[in-house]
Amino acid sequence: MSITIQGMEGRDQISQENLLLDAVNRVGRARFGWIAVHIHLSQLRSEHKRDSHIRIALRMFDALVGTYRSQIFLLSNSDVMVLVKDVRLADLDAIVFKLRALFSEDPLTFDDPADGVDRFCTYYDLSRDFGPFFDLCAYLSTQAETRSASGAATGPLPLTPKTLSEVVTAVSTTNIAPFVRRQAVVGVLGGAARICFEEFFVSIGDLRSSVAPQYDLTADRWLFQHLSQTLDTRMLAHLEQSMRFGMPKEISMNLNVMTVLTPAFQEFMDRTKGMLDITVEVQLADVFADFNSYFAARDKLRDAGHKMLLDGISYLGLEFSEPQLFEADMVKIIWSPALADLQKEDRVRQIKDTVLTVGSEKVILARCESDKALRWGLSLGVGMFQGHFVDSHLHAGVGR
Amino acid sequence: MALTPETTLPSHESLLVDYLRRLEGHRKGRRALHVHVSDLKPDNRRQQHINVAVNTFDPLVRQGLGQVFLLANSDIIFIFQTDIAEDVDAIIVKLRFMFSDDPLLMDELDGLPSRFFSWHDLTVEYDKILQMAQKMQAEEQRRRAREQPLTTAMGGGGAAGKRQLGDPLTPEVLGKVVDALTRADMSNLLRRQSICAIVGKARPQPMFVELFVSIADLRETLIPNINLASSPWLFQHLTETLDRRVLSALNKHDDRTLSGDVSVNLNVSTILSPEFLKFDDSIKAGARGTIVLELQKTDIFADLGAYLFARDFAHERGFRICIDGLTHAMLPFVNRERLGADLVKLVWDDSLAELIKSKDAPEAKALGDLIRRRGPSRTILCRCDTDEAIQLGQSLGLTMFQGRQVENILAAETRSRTSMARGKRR
Repeated sequence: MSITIQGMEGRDQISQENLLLDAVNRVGRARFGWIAVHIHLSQLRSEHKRDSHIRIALRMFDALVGTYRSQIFLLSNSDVMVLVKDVRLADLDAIVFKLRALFSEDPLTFDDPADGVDRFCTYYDLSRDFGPFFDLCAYLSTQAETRSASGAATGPLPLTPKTLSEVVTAVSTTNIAPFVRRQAVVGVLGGAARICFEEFFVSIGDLRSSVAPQYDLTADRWLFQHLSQTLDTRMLAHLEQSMRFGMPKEISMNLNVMTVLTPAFQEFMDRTKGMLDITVEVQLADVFADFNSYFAARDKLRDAGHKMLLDGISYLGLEFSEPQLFEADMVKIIWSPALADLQKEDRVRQIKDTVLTVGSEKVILARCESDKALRWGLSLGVGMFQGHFVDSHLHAGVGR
Repeated sequence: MALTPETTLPSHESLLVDYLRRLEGHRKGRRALHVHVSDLKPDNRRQQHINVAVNTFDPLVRQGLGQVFLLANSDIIFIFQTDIAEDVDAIIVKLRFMFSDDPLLMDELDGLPSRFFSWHDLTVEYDKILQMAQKMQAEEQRRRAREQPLTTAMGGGGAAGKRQLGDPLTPEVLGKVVDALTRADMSNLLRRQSICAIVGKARPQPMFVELFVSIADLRETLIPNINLASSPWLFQHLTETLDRRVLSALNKHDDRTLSGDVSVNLNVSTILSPEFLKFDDSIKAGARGTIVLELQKTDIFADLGAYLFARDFAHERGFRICIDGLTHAMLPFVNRERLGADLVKLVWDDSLAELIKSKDAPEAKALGDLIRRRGPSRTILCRCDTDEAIQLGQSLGLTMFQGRQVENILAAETRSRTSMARGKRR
């Protein structure tokens, strides 16, 4: 009995999906002893789905390829497909286990007791399940063609030192007013909700579209940090100008630690004295780059009656650093669904302890996009909230 | 004119002199090819022609088979070993073709000796070439002095100093430095320093060797007038390029370097890069367990997710992770154990000395306790430039040390062993 071979006629592109289909066709003629494993890396959270990570994941199969008759395919959606003959299951399991460990921060690798289905990978015994597996591969191939037909537009280019120079010049001469946004930080302790201060920030997306649409400004972390120094200067200039048109008294802005120590910032503080209560938000990563400067900047702000806020504390930041040690005036935790997914008791307790030690009234949960976020924050005793979900409630009448 | 006056970058003339000096003991089998681009008609030696000409040497340079220098007058000097003579011939054919319509190359057709290319055998002509290079270097310096008086006033002279003056590191300069690094022969800039176990007054036992690029030498050869501290973010970007170049230099070099017992400084992003996968491939199976990857805390905390992934991958492949360069003040903030790193480096400095000496102060006790809790056998005290550093370090329970004083002791040991051996032979 022969299987209809769907050849590659009419397919101009040689995609991994097509190669897979080709291989499956060949295996189909003598399928006994073949196992296929479909690893659903496409379902990982975007931050875990980076090229570098996928490349390394593929490496884990080196041992397999060297020992057994096997083929590995990296599909265009980032899924990995493994075909292997007469493999010792223990060897295969060992590799899948390592892969799971590599991506262990992603919920995809957690066991789901509810329905018992492993979302990370699916095994197929081709001597039994050839039909469904073949159909799957045909489907993946069609999907891949649709994806490529819709045209991958050339994405924005990452910044290089040379192009950074152009962008810095462009930004330093742009009026950033159209790109400045505000978002309130709302306190919930003591009964009624009230606005504690308003954060002023630059919408990088909008800035990029207008000033440097061909570049991906944030792709290279260090180059972006360098650009942010120019943004700091523009923001300070903007805030001073805006004073004339009326501004809230309590405000916050995102700055590099180093900016706080510049003469320009001192002048800003002098010129706005008595008119603004300033909170400077600095990123945790920035603080780790230069401790001494952080403490100097914090003290300088306090001496002038202002505040230092430690920003950018992700759920990983909470696990690997101790924000309370920095003794900032406020601390901002960035919400992500991963926080609510935290299953380990001791990690949840650790975060609760951190909030307590810093002081509820000093902790802000930012990027609250949902009711889930708000509830999580309240359950941990967080005192202040910021995010779209909070904004919508504010407009509904919860205000000063 | 290839290099514009605005470039505070680095004369290739200086690089050439430096390279030649390092070749002093290795002249045998080395040759230099001088391409007289400056003698071409002006129309034929515009920037794009020069770029293309220099790039033809790239494949050989990238494989570490030779070093190319683009002089201020646009001439190109390529230094290589005789065994790749055929590859160089192939390049010459390409260059001849590229510039074939210039009168300078007509001579070759007539069977006359080439005026476009000249070859030198360094075994015989080393001194002559070195002198020529030095002369060109001096001329270049004078030319720059004329065009940019300020730069030369600040620059020049003693490179050994920790002079932090200089022009700011701007994105343009960074771009040029990155380009220069891509052409540079990193093996000239690699240094070694031993990490040793020193218990009591016993002899230091070398445990592994750190391979690093001396930033001071880098400044001297590639970027003499630039203040690297002026832009920490651009400097971080620079270290990424540096790391990858070091890795690729290691990938090419002799087995001795890669047989283990070494540490290298890397960025997290480099561990996640294809270059690292090549490096991983090139290491003998048994050697991985003794290779340490040193990471900066700035890098780790810039993207904890990437760090964790890189750490797990590195551990999976058998490498060890060391967190580099923590001062005693930072130690409470960076928890080696929690971060899952194998080692941590504590920097010896004056404030640490004072802290330890004030034995009864609560801070001193706290530091001692912290080190004991975090694992004294996982902490390396580095920048030990005096005996005091080692002794006070030992008082904290530390047993691993690195630094100039450690090198001094090791050197003294070697000398005394050698002289004892000589003595015995009498």
